[in-house]
Amino acid sequence: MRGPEQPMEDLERDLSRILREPLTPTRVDLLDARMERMAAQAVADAEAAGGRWALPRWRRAVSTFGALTATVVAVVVVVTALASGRAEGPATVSPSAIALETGSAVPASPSPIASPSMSEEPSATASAAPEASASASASASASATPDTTPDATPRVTPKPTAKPTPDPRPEPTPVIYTGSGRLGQAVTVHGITLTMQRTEVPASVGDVCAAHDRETYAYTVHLVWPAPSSDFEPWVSVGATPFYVVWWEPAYKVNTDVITVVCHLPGEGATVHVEVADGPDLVRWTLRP
Amino acid sequence: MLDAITLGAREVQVTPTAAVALERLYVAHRDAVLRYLRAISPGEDEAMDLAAAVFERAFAVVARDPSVDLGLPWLLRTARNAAIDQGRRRKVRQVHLAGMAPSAGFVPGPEPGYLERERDAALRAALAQLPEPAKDAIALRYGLGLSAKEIGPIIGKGEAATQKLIVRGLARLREVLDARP
Repeated sequence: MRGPEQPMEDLERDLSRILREPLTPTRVDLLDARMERMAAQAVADAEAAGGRWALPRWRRAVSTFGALTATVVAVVVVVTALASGRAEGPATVSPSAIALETGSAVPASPSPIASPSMSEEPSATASAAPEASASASASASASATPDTTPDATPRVTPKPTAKPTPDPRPEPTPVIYTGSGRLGQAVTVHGITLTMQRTEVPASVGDVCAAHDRETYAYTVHLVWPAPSSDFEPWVSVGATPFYVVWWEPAYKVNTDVITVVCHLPGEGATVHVEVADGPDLVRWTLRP
Repeated sequence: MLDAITLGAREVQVTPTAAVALERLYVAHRDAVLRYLRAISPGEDEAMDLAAAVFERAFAVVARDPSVDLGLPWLLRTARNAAIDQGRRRKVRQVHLAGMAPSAGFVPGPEPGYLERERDAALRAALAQLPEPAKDAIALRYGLGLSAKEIGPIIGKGEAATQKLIVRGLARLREVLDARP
């Protein structure tokens, strides 16, 4: 014996079965491979963004230090050369004093070759320090060099997700109230009065249905609904194929005139069907020209 | 200079975490996103493309900040928006072409199970003709087993409104199925 809820339960069961059918494995495999590449790319992009930000600081710091060192070396070389060229002249300025003033602990040498070799030391020491730190961590070297190809992300192996638990309660079967009349007439069903009239399609909407091989119909809609239980737009259709509303002009409201635009299949007749939800129940009108 | 080294090391430590976060996100939600998109898309190929776009967007977010927990609702909202964008590109606005949904695996014939497959095909076609909000709500309810309370934030409606959408959608489906010859 089938109760009144049985068909709805059957429908819900069929929907659950259809909508949870397994996906085509080959297509899913293709998607997995595509996603694997995208994930690797996303990680690489994120790294590159981090690298672009960090690298100039490295280079800026190193080049600043290098510039300072080069200046010191140049000063020492010039002073040393001047000192050696005027060995017998009056020593108004002591080369060693200048060297000490610039921060170099190296004593002034009369040889112009010795100075550059000494001045390279701080530079070498400075660059060795970051390299040693960077090589201590494999990831650090990747940061310092943004062009480095990132390690491929491990292959994604999807595991089946847990089966969702459907709501055991079946949806209630709505009571459907129906009424019929003619366009232009006020037709009251279940305390709600609907008046509809064919009108021109608003210029702002245009012939929106032509692209879909349908005719564009427009109607003024006036719903008198003392206590509307929802602000949902009614479902409106013309002809046999249901519910092809494409536009409300202005936005849908009860107790006022609004224009609705509907796509209509040619040759389906011009009978209008309207439906609103009143709580769990449905109210329907059928209006003929 | 040492600050820069420390900063560089901190930046790079994000990388393995991002890879793990991306994998975890994809593995956990792939099937749910695909099932939802398949239910609201004209075909499985389009659903796959949309799923790729959704996860690409998610990957970009997670790769930048692996601590972000996007979760299924974020993915489903993004999937819905992607499907709507796709629909707009096709210049379809709540206009559903009859028989748009293909009946995957449907082979007419007198073999056992024919009637059931025919009914399934009719149900898919009827589902494809539902207005977008009702189709979304039903796909999330019966495809993913979400409650009206969970579906509401995804489709931008309240719980009661979502419940009403589901009831109206079911009533519409039942009518369409009962009316077929």
